[in-house]
Amino acid sequence: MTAQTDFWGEIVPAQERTPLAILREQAALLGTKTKNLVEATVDTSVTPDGQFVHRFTLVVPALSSYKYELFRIEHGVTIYPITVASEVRLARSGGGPPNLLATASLGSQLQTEQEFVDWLRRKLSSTETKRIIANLLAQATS
Amino acid sequence: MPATKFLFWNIGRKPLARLVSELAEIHGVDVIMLAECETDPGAMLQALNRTPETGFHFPASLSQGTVVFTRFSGEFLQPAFESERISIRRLALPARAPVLLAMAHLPSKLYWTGESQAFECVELARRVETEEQTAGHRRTILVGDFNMNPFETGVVSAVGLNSVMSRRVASRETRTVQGREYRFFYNPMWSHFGDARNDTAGSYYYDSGEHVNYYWNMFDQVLLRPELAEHFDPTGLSIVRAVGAHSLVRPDGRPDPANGSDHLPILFEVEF
Repeated sequence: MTAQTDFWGEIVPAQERTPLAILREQAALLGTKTKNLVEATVDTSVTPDGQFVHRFTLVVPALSSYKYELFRIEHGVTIYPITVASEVRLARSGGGPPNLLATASLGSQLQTEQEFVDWLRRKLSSTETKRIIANLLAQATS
Repeated sequence: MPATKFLFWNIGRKPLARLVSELAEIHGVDVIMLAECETDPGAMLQALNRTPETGFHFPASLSQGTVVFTRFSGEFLQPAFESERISIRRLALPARAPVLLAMAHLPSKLYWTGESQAFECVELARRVETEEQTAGHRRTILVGDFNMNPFETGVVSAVGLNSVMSRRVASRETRTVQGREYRFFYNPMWSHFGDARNDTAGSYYYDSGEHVNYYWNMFDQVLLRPELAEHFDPTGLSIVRAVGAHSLVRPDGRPDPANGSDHLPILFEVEF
């Protein structure tokens, strides 16, 4: 009997940080900034066509665990490009107060880890995000 | 085996967030369970997390009877059963054996007879058994303000909580009555009756003016299944009389509602 030949070669995990790991790091940091009044979670699912979907959600435990999906990204098995599948933005109508408007399937493509990290930094530190968190904090403590 | 520190306190609808926070900090409490807590969870979180080193969370729950704050993320404490007075949660910490944390605030003697309280214990015992079967283990901590003493029928009877004062007896795991098998709880609160340590002879004081009057009661209790009692150090359980320099008791040892609650907190550690 001939010896079996290993066609696989050496298999090692990719060394780059996954989007999920980056999102989880940022999610964990929010609680410490808000005394855990507003926390963030990342939920992952897989679509029938093999796309990984990560939902970044704000949670307010003291408000009956109120949840607010801040954004959603998708990627395939190759990780990049990442697609920003949906996000919520604040918009002003006329001269009135800001309204929350959902803008779905933005479709922005992030080609590298650096592009993703830059986008995430802009997203989390944006005026819109800060306003949402401030509103949730106000309700959690009122 | 790592130990987790628990605090239970019926705070009597008082605004005691600052005291709870200091108590948790001084004793390194991991899980805070509060009965009769009318403080908004957000306000309690702000008090608990006033320094960046802490990091208490408020895990999701539907039960109003006992509110819980934990030093670990809420995802590790999931509700299994919840009602107005009972909350049973699955505590599953990373690299630790899962346990069930059952909390109860049972009806007061002001409104219920001893017989009704005993029957309620039967229902509580049945619910705990059901959740143990669902969870597939019996590592259960049952804690709360039972409004009954450890020697009362509901707490002692086989069909009730079936709790005993001795780990050795509890280690038999079950006892059989009329051919039916009942699982033990170990009740370490028995060791805290009386004035051997100090003038505080229980967790709650009530002078009823009746013929039968115990004055001191041990309504606030923690019960452990034998699987957890085996590694439990009873000396690690205490009835708390002071938070730092702030006394929770009067000079005669009784709880001082003016400076705390009419119930005293209990602190205990469980290894799992």
